Amino acid sequence: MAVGTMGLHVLLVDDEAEFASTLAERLSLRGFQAKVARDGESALARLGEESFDVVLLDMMLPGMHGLDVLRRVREALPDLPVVMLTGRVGARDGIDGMKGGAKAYLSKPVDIQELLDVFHSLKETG
Amino acid sequence: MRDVLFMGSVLASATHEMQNIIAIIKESGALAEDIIAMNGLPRMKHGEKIPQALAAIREQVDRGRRIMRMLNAFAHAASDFPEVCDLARYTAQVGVLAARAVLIKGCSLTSAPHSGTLPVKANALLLMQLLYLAVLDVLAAAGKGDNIVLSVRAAQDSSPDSGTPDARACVALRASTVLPLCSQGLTSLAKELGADCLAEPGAIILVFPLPEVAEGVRP
Repeated sequence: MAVGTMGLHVLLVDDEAEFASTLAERLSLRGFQAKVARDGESALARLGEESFDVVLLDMMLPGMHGLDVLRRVREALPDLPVVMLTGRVGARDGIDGMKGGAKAYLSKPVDIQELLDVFHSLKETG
Repeated sequence: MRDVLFMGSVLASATHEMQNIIAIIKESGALAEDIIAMNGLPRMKHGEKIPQALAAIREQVDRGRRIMRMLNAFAHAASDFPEVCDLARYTAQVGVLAARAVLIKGCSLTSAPHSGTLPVKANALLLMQLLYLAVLDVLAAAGKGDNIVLSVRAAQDSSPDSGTPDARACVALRASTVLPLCSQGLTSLAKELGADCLAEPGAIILVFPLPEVAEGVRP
């Protein structure tokens, strides 16, 4: 792992509890501090209580859609980078996310190295 | 049309769920690999077989992921009705979705790499149906062990009327040992899509006119 990303606080927002907790575990093994939120409302609440360096946000969430969560995050914390996760094939969801202000998008299942590269480049670009 | 929309919508939803399941299997297997990489193999009888089992999980997850991604795209083609499609992408997708039919025939299929997009104006579902039918036509004539090469390219012909270049996009299906013929179904579906269906020795070539005005390709 790139040294620069060590200790990065990551908020994973995904309603698939098993997926999110396992990915959080894998990130923890690599020195990240990863927390999980199951939906948009609890993610926004968590962001109001704690400080994070990056949000990994699933597009298809129960209740508030990922793009709505993105918009709310951008309004409240404009400097906080958001990376969108999409289960849909093709770039359309990802492009919608980028238009909404996301820094990057990744397809599920996530390639851990790709995710680390994104975190590293976010850290480098500030 | 309502049936197609229904099928597309249900399939898109189900494949999305399957991708989540695959993602969980992938992450769980990968977590076990992470732990072994950090701490070494657990000392237990047959413990040396664990990495092999985890590697099999990883390989099959990748295989399932490829199929599910293509099936998800297929479902969205049925429910979204994009008017302009990327021929290169849909051809690659059909190559993956036809894997079972190819395997049953004892053949193999190779999709030649293509960089960039090839926008064509077509109903995505009909386009995929045409490409799938083309694969089946080639398979019908192919012998066991034959390799079918699926490739796409842009081409420019001079129009005899105007003398101006006439942009086209082509899909070629080539088999090494056969002389495939375009079936009636393939020919009529190609016509419906405004495409030409050409049979060459050992090949079927589908030729599509490119959209006159550059339009956004729905990803």
